[in-house]
Amino acid sequence: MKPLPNIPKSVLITRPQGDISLKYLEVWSQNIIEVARKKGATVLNLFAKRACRQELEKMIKKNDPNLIILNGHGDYNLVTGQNMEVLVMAGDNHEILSGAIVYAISCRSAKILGKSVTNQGNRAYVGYLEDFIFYYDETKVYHPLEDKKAKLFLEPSNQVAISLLKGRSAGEASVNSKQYFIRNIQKLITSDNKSSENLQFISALYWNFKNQICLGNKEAII
Amino acid sequence: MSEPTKEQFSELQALVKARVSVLSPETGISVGSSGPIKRDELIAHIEAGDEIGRQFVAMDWQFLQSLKTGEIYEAIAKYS
Repeated sequence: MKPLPNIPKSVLITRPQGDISLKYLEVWSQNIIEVARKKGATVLNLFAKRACRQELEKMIKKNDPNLIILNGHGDYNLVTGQNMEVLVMAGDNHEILSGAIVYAISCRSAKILGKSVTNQGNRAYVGYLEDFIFYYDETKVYHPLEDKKAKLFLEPSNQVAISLLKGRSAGEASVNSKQYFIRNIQKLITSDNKSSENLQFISALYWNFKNQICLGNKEAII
Repeated sequence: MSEPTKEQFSELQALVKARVSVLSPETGISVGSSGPIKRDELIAHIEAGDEIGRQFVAMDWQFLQSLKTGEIYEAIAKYS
């Protein structure tokens, strides 16, 4: 039997700007965009003021993306975009996410929003049940990709999207990310660096590891 | 995971505050939707026992419990 032709994939990513947390998520998302482009996917980049509800709804309707990555502040039932505008809220417009695999790099949204999204459709939602916490170096805020403290947290997080783009299932992508969190915990434990900060970093890495969850169809691929 | 009792919470509050104090003043923390905070701001949140402070106490409680129960060792064995 002939293999199925590769169907072009599309990836929608929100990258609001605002505080330092958003800056880091936005800049670190560039790595995901690079991988997506290398894999031949079309990237729908909702950057800064385009990370608004109207644009998100319009782009999803028009392009039906395979993967949606939401960077932004969030709560149990919602994820926000530029200027903290609510992009998606459970019970309001959550069904717009039901046709794609979603990765929300946002606090808490898996608890209610993720469940609402995966109640419909057969796709998956990877997110965090509680706050996503990361540390960063104040001296690197103008060069977030050079920040070794933030790297400990944002590389494992990015692994969800990168694994999905490399053809892994949603469940496998979450496991890969969790492995990365654990690897960084091990690195800090075995490191010669005796920084007194390490224990605090380990605690936060373990927190993110525990709170990341894959809801819905774990076998789903983009 | 069991929740800390009121007494345990106040002991943890002191412990977490002491641990956070060793962070470099140049280390920032991104937590929740209230935006990033600095070490001394985090200490103030922990002292006040507000949402961010409680979140950090919960984080350390979870970590310490995982050491006590061996859960973190199981996680390392399973995911490495």
